[in-house]
Amino acid sequence: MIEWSRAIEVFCVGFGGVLASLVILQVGILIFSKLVGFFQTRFAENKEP
Amino acid sequence: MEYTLIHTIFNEMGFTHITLGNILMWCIGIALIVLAIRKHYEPLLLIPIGFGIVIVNIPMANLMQEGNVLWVFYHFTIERWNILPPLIFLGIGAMTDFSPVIANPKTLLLGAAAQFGVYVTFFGSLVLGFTLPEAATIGIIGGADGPTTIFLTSQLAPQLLGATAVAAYSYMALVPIIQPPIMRLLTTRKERTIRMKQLRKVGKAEKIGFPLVATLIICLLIPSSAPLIGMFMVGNLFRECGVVERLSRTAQNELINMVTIFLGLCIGATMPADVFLREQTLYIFFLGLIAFCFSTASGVMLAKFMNLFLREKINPLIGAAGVSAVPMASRVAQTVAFEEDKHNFILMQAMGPNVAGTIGTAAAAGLFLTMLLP
Repeated sequence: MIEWSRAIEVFCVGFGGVLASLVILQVGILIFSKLVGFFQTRFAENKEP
Repeated sequence: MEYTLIHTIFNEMGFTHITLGNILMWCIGIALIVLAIRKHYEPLLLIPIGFGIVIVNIPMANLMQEGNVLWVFYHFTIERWNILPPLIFLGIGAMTDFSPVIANPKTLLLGAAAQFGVYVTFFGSLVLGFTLPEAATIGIIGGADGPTTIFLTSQLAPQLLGATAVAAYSYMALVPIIQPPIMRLLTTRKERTIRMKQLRKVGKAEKIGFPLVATLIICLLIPSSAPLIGMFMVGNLFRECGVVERLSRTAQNELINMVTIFLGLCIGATMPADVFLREQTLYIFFLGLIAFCFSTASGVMLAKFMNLFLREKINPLIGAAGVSAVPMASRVAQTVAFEEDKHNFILMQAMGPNVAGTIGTAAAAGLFLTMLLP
């Protein structure tokens, strides 16, 4: 007997979860890259005489 | 007395207990070895797997009996601790360059889209009579990631380990044959000739920070994926930090080579004739192929969909690289692009979804474990 309701739940939560996780990771990487760039620029400016 | 001993020795010989199933499995094992050697189909795995199949099907040798050598390998490294796939991921992480993902993070979406084939096949497996955990382990073949397939199957459906692992590695080897027709079918010539901008240079700080950021985000969201993602990223940190060259070299060479030997032999050892030669094995290979095809198609289709909204278009061929067969899938995308335009270089752009697919498949496996592990 196929548990269709459970299967649909696994599909939605599973695929949705993978998509959501990688979207959040994408946002995290964008923010991280911007922060690295910002601090590297600040550091370079502070080093200039 | 002597005649009794001779009788005993004769009865203990494997020759007197050979079955048709043993012979068939020897043929399958030898076929895998021949494909690996002659055609270079994933030789690092298919040779030990093939030999494991041959040796475990020798009657009376009982190598998978408790206490015997293959049983020890399998029981402790996979059945009890499930340690080999995370160690493989450590080595793979040490060999992976995440620059294409860091430079163009939206390719993570293509890696996620390619997991759609996993879930389509999950449904298909249920229709064919598999249980929910079994369907998950068959679906994950679509991620084209051998270690993740083994990691998931050994926990959810260890009785299917041999079939799913061989299917996963076989289809990974067949990427150059399976993917191009699907890519050509779903794209126009104009789309295949889209040229993409060269990726920006990624700084050392970003490359060092990425494994930490990715580990924290993915493992906090999906803790069950931590064994795979954590090992993947620590290997990458060894590579990128530049101060542990010895550890990086060991992870890329000695460690992964040793683990590959044990893993291959263990997988082969799970395929005695009475387990492998069943109707459901054929279903697994058929469904694995479906998973792979849908994963390829969904990556391409998402790339085409994204192009509706992007000013700088993506060549949809790189969407097919969202399956985790690194770097083969990227090379296939490049080859198909070259067919239309010999000056269109998309290999590095294709590496983005390719490595993102590895993260996506590990995340999918983690979610299956969270939802289906008893």
